[in-house]
Amino acid sequence: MSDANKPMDTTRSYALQKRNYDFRAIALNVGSIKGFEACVAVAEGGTVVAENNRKGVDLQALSGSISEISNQMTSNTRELGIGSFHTGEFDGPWGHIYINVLGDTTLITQCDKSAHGEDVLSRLDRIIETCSKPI
Amino acid sequence: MEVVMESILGELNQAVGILGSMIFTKDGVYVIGKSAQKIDQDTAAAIASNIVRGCGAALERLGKDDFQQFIVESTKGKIVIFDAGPAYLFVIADHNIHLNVTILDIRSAANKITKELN
Repeated sequence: MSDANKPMDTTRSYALQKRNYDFRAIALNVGSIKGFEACVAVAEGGTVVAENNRKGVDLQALSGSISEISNQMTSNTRELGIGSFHTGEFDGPWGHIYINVLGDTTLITQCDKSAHGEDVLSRLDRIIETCSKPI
Repeated sequence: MEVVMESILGELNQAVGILGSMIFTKDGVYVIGKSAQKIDQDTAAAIASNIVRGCGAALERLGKDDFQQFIVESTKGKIVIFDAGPAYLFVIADHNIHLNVTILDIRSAANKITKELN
């Protein structure tokens, strides 16, 4: 079975351990995903640590709104007793938005409708694993 | 209608790994829900309502209308919010389930809810 066809690893090992992430490398490599439009990595406090914007997306609006959802989900999943939020995927007629919580930083990736949800998540997982090292 | 909705949610909750399911209007008003015993229904409904409202408002600010689905993964569980016509179906699931399979049950329930509400 090729890597692309492997089932998604729902354990997401990177979410369960502390790692050093190279966000510039992640942002650069995420650009290779089919349907990619833009991505932005936002640290705590709203500081943008890396970005890749291919389609002229309003990154300030994207990072502001999605970081807000990410912060809300972080507290709400704990309140629901289902642990720490680490991954989110929005699908709509407008395309897809993916949220990956990587330590103190949130990676937000926006793709158009041509992107396939599961494939993108698997690719994101692999890129994040490749561009990070356990501490 | 309430009996039908309860029946749809009850059937969905029988699927492997589903801990609870609820129906909300698009603006986050709780309609009905059924949960496993380990989840407090009132607390879950309040939090879920908060999530649905928050997501809708944030996406609206981005100029994006309704979402079709929002899948959330956390270290001990998963949440799926699925479009059900004039409502959202909110599902809490165990961390170990394979969504590829379970999403079919969720989609089927959402379709039934859509038909019922339309």
